[in-house]
Amino acid sequence: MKIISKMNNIKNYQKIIICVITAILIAVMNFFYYNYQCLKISDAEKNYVIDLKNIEVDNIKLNDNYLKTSNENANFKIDFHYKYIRNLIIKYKSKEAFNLNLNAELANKYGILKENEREDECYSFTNISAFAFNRKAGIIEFSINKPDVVIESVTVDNSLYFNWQTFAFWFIIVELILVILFYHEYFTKKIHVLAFILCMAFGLIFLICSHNMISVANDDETHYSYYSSLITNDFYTLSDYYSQSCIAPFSWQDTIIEKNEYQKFLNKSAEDELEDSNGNRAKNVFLLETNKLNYLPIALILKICSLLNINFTTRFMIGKLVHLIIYAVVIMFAVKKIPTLKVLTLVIALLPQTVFLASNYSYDPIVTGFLLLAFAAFVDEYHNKKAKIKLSNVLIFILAGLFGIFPKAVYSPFLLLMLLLPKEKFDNKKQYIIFKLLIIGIFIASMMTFILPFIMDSSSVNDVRGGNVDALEQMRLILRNPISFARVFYDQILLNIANRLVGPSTFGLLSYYGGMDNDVSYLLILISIVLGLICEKKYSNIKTSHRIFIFLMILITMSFVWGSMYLAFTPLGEDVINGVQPRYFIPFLLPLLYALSTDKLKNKLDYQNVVLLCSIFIIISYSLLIYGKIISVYCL
Amino acid sequence: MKRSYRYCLYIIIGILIVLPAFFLERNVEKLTVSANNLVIPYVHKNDIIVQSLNIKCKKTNKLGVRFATYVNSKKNSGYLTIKLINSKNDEILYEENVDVTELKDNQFFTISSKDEINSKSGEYYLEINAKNIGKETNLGIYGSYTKENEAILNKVKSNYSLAISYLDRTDSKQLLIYFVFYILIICMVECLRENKNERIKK
Repeated sequence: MKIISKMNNIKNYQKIIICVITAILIAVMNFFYYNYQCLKISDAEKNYVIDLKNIEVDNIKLNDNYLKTSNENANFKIDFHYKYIRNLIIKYKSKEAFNLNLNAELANKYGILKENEREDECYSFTNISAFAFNRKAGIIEFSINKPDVVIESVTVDNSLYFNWQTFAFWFIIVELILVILFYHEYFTKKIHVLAFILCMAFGLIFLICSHNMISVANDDETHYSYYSSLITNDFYTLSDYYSQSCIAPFSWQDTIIEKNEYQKFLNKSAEDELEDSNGNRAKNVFLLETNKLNYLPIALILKICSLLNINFTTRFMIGKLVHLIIYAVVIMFAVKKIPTLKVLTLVIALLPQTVFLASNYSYDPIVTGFLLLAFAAFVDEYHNKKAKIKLSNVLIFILAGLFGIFPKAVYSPFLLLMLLLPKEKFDNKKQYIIFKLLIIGIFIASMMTFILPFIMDSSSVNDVRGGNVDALEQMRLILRNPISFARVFYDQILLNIANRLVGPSTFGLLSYYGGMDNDVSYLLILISIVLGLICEKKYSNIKTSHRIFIFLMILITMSFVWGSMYLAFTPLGEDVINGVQPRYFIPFLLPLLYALSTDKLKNKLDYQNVVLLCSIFIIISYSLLIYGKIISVYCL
Repeated sequence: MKRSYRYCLYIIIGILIVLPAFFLERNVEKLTVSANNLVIPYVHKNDIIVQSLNIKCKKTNKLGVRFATYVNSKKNSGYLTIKLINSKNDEILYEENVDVTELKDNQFFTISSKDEINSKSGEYYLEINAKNIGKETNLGIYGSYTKENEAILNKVKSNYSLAISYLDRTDSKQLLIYFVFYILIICMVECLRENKNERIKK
């Protein structure tokens, strides 16, 4: 700790020099790590095309310059004679998609050849399939499951390159640690700035290292179609169409080469309009509806980008970046506003799952972020019981709360928190009663945004992704069998509630990449939450009846979440509730822990050290998670 | 801010919030019946399916049928003839030969009639003719099991209705919910401002 406190005393120009030297070191190490094999080999072996004339083929017509498959069991073999291959690039042409399977002899870490199987899905609109091996290879057998596929060339690419994704990862992580160590006294006083910096840093890593343009987060293509609805009007552009519905299978672009090729294709096709026909379902989106309002800001940004003729992929990334910035700013204000449990708020706002989704197009971070801000405004009022109520806090609570609740009206009971404000905060009883009535009025109006569409047209709430769903029939079934439904509900909540609230899939599920298990990255976040809860020096004085009120509010809202998914997403008559995602429970964490906090808890923890420790724990947790799930699999 | 100015501002913002609800019109996609059941699991060669249209909107010119094409089936071939017919005079308003390989699994295929139609009481019907599809084609159609407005398969009344999607042009009165929130928030502001003013006076 002495060393750390000394780091604060280093002069600013020295800190900058250390950061620059570290960045240069990372760049050099990154270059040599990914190129040391390529530097050893001769120029002739750096980049060469395999002669297709002298290879072993089966069910393939051998021509002068290319191979053509004859049926669905075509394969060919190439012997690489134990030579190093970093990337193997296959150029093809096909009228339809096909699978390219590789059975390859690849050297393990001891240099012994072992059999490996690789698979790639090849599409007709791009003409490159690439495999990143980074090791020596023996015989590789290629199998193709479609006739009339033309293989134009097989190229070994061993040229020198700079891996920007791994550089960005290490650069951001190391510099972040340095900055926190250099300025930890400042960050202890300004935790909200720390929250903003950490959120932007991790979000940028996700943005840079996500191997795929779209479909890395759940339902991203659907969300993107809403965001782009101001551009597309009655038509999708061809790029929108491909990125949303045709391709974007998660595992497809598993190399940088393929990703670049796909991006070229999208930018080239962005101007072409696809005629209104099959699959064109996202038109007629009305962004002024309450449940679509959250899409409007980024939809406007994308529209402006479109008017400025910014190309498709850049526009796409700008949309993601703005989404991330909105979330980072909102949580920064939430941490700034809340008068107690600031560290806990920071840790919850920075849960990897939420930051990951914020760097994609999912709307869940908007819900989480704005509800955190609303809760912070409530705590600011509740914590200072003697001070008179501030109009600004009430407006922040209502406006941020409503913006967070509109996409998912089931969170409406959140608004009732304001009923807990004591009478002493108001000048007279009349005002106190009017205030409470208005809060109840806003709550009822908010619930109506969910209930009215269901009453007027029950099919409008059905989510066809759930299968044979029918909300009205499900409701009738519940009313006919209330006890059976109560048992279903009881089983689901009782068995799942703990895991949904503080399980690894709540903290660190990175959608299709997978997520945390009960591993170090999960435990570090859990420890940070505990530290954030117990390190506080000025807890709120919460009445027991108010604690019970908050617990009930959380329980009722959770029931709404489960109930809505049972009606809208679960097939008729099932005795399980489908589609309830752990991320839906993140907004409950802070209110729940706030209700559990007590001023009877005394501690001698040094606040500054806890802030530093939690920040480092979060950084390590993110590093382990991102390296294990994204970098080591998709960025090499 | 003076009370009169404040109230003027409230009224102006209120009008701006209310206006879109009265002036914006939009298309909403609706379904004649729920499209969750594969009521025709397999369309056979030479099948003729007739579905009377019971559309609850003033006018529309876009209709959609949800097909299942069984993604893994490689044997789909031929053409499906889709016609939109006026039952009063047998006038064909729309006819298209649809290449079955172009149909997308679990998605709606949309047809656009040149003229807008009003089929509240079923004056129009859709005819899907499978005369030209390949023998091994795997194609299904979605709909709901119902005793109302049943489809007719090869001149025999069925126990289901095909799910037909259509565009309904509707107003945006639902936006008035923002006005409700606005009124409540103004009341809140005035209520708490009054407190503040009283405190200042004291």
